[in-house]
Amino acid sequence: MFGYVSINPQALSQPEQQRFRALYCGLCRTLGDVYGDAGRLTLSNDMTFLALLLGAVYEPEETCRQERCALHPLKEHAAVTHAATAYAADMNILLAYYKCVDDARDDGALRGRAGRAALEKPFRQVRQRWPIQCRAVADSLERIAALERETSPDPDALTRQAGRMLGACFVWKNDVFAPSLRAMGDALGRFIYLMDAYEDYDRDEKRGRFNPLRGLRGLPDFHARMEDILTLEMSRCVKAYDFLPVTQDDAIIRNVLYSGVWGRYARMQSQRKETQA
Amino acid sequence: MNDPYQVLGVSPSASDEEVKAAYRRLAKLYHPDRNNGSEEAERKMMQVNDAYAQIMDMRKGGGASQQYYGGYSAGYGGAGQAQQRAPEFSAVRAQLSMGRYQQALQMLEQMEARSGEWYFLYAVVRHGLGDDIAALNFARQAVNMDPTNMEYLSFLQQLNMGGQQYRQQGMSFGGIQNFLCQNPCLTCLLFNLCCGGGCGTRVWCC
Repeated sequence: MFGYVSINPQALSQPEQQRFRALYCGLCRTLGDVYGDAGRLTLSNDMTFLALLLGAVYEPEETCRQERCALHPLKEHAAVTHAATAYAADMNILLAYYKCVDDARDDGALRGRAGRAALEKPFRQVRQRWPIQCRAVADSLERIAALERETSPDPDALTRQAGRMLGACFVWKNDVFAPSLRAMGDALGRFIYLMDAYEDYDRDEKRGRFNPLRGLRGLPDFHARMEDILTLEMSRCVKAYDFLPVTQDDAIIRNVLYSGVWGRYARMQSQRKETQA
Repeated sequence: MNDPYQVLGVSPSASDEEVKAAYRRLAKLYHPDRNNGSEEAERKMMQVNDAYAQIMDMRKGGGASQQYYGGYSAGYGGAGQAQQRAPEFSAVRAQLSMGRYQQALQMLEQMEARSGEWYFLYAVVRHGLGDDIAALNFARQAVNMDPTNMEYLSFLQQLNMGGQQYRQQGMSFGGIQNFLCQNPCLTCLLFNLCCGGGCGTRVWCC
């Protein structure tokens, strides 16, 4: 689930980039403080975005610190934390833990097993704090695994579960904004799952592994269709976002939703053109 | 129930941005972080939240969940359409007009005849269930089978419209394309987030 949701720095002003970075550092700091080094290693841009979004919707009080860290020992930099950073850190642990579980199951990878062992304790804490999110993620992943085992010909069935999973993670509080946040997470989860399947297609094919897009790959306009579907998911995400009362950091959030999420896609397409040429 | 516009202190003709700004002003005032858990502030906050959601529901057409699986209503059932409709589908259309997608899906899956209309209705149902891939697929198929049918065509256009709007609005935020800079060093920085920043361009990772 990681690695798709980020900013497009070229379309952001310097202060906007610094703002995103300060939240990234804040999330890193929170992960380290609450869960130690194993937690810190799970840090992702994806959950930085969640902290940014929830911070903009609920505007919790922020703490900004100038700090140095092990990764940047020389340069002092800002780290912004607030109540939503703590929540995003928990979701980061949750998703990272299940990614390790998934990796370990896929090919018994040592990295997955080691990661899982290291995250076992943080995960138990998160499960105690956010049982609804944890149950939704576990349940969706189980269903996805079952659909993959039976090599389901229906990509929507798999995509739906991926959406449900991230949708649950986007709901921090049970209030009037929950449906819109869930819908945003849902659309993003679908987008990420489809991007992942699209990106891995050739590799899966080579290794004889299941890929949910198998039924679509044979179509002559496969790539155009993928772009249409991915665009549709993101348009749903923005539609849900428009409902929310965001004024703070709106430009950064829209940068992510309209451009940042397409970073890997753009790279993939340029590589595809290169190999064709 | 109070008038939601009155609660937020804006006129009904206010823009979405003005409504959001008014909400933010009041939300700051009654924010739990700033009111030491006062019950009065909490009650006010809930009122403001509800008023805001009510206004947005009215403006954006039914809550977020409905927005999301909004389904398709404009096309079918409209009077004055000269298109031929097979009577065998009237029961399916009746279910659709009530938003009963599961029932409509079951009925369609039991049918044998796979005409253009079947593909169209199947696309509408899958769209209603939130299945974008199938919806686009089957809508295209319906249009291919019967390119002159306006109902099928307008549904396919409606499916694609959200994406077109998104692409257009996205231009001012960097968009899908123009993501890769010509400068290979920048490109490297952009995607290889752990590269040491030695190129003189500040990137927010390591």
